[in-house]
Amino acid sequence: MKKNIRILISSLIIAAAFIGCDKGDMKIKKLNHGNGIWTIESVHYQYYNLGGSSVISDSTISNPGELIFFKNATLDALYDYYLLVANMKDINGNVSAYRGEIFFDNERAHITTTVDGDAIPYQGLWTVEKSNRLKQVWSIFSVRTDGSLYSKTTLSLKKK
Amino acid sequence: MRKFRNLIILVAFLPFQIKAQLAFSFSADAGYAGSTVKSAELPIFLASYNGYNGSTMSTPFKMEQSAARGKYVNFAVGIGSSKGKFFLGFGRYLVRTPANEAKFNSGEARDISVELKDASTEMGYRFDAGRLTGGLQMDLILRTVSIYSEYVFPDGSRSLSADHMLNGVYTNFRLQIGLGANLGYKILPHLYVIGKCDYVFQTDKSHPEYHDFQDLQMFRDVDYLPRDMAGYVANSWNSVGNSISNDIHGLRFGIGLQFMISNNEE
Repeated sequence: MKKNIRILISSLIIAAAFIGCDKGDMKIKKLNHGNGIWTIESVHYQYYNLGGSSVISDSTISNPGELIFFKNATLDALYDYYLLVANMKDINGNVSAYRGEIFFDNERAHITTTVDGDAIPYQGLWTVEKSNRLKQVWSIFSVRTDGSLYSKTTLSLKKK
Repeated sequence: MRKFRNLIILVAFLPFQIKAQLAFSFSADAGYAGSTVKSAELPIFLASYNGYNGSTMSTPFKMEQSAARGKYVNFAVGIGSSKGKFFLGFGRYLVRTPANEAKFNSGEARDISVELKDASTEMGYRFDAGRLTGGLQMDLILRTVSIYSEYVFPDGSRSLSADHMLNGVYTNFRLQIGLGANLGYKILPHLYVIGKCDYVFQTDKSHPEYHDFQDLQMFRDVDYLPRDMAGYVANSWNSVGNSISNDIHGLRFGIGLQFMISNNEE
C-alpha cells in the first residue's frame, strides 16, 4: 500500500507540473512574486534600413535601473493593471523613482502612467519574447508610414 | 422502538456492507493532446484578409487551421463493481495550432494561431476486463479560445504590440458539450496506457453575437477580428456586425499514461 501511495504522489506531482505549465494562469504573479524587484539588465536599441530588412545601427545600455512590480492593483484594477515603480539611475548613479502601472498577460506587457502618476520610462505595449520566473525579455517596435520596421527596443529583465 | 434500533444498526454497518459490494477507483492520467479546429467564422476573416491584401501578398492564409497540439491532465473517481464503474473526472487541456502564415512581398508576414484551453468535467461508464478498460463519456467543457495575431518582420522579430493593426490576442470562452470514448491497456500494476477521443460540439448557435472574439487588453481601442477587412480599415470603430465570433468545435484526443488504484484490483 505504501508503494501505491508513493506512485500516487509521483503521479500527482507530474500532473501538477502539467497544470503548472499552463501559461495563462501565471500572469502578473510571475512578476510580483517574492520582493517583486527586477534588475533591468540591458536595453538594446536597433535601427533598421529602409524596408526594415537589416539593422543599420544599434546600441545597448546596461543596468540603467530596476523595476518593482507590486501586488497592489491600481485604479484600473478592473482591467488587471498593477502598480509599477521604475527606479532609474542617472549618469552620477543617483536614483529617481517613477510610478506607473502595468498589465501583463504573459504575451504582452503594457506599461503606462497612472492618472496621478509620473511619466514612467518604457511606456508602451511590449511583446513578451521570453517569460519565466527569473528572466523576462520584452520588445517593442516602431514602424515607418509604409509599415516597414524602423526600430526595435529590447528590454531584458532579471529577477533580483 | 425495536424497529428503530434495528434501523440504526443497519445504517451504522452500511459502510461495511457497501465496501463488500462496491468497488471504488481513483485515477490520474496525463499526456499528449490534440484537437481539430473546425470553424465557419475564422475562415471569413482569413478570406477577407487575403482579399484585401491580395496584390501585396506572396502567400495567402490557408483557409483551414492545422490541428492544435499540446498536453492534458485528468483526475477521476469511479464507483461500481469489479466489471465496470461509473466515473466522474476533471481535466485540463492546453493545445495550440502551428502558425497559419500569410506572407507579403516585402518579406513581412502575419501569423494566426489558435489556442484552446479546456476545463473539462467528464462523466461516463468504464468497463474493466482484465488488462483492458474501455468506456464511454460525456464532457461538459468550459473552453477558452484565444486567437494570436502576430506581425512578423523580415528579421524574424514577432510583434503582438500596437505597431500594426490587428496585432493582439483575441479571446472568447463558452460552455460546450463533448461525447466520446476512452480505452486503456494495463502495462504494469496500476499503470495503463490510455487513449481518449471525444467530439466537442458547438453550443448556443442562436446568439453568435454573445461570443465575439475580443482583445481584453484595455488600451487596445479596436479590439475585434473583422469579417470585412475593407469595412474595418474604413471605419474600425464600428464593430457592430463586423466581428467574427467563437464557433470553434471539433475532435479532441489525448494519449497518455494513467495511474489507477482500485479496491478490487487483482
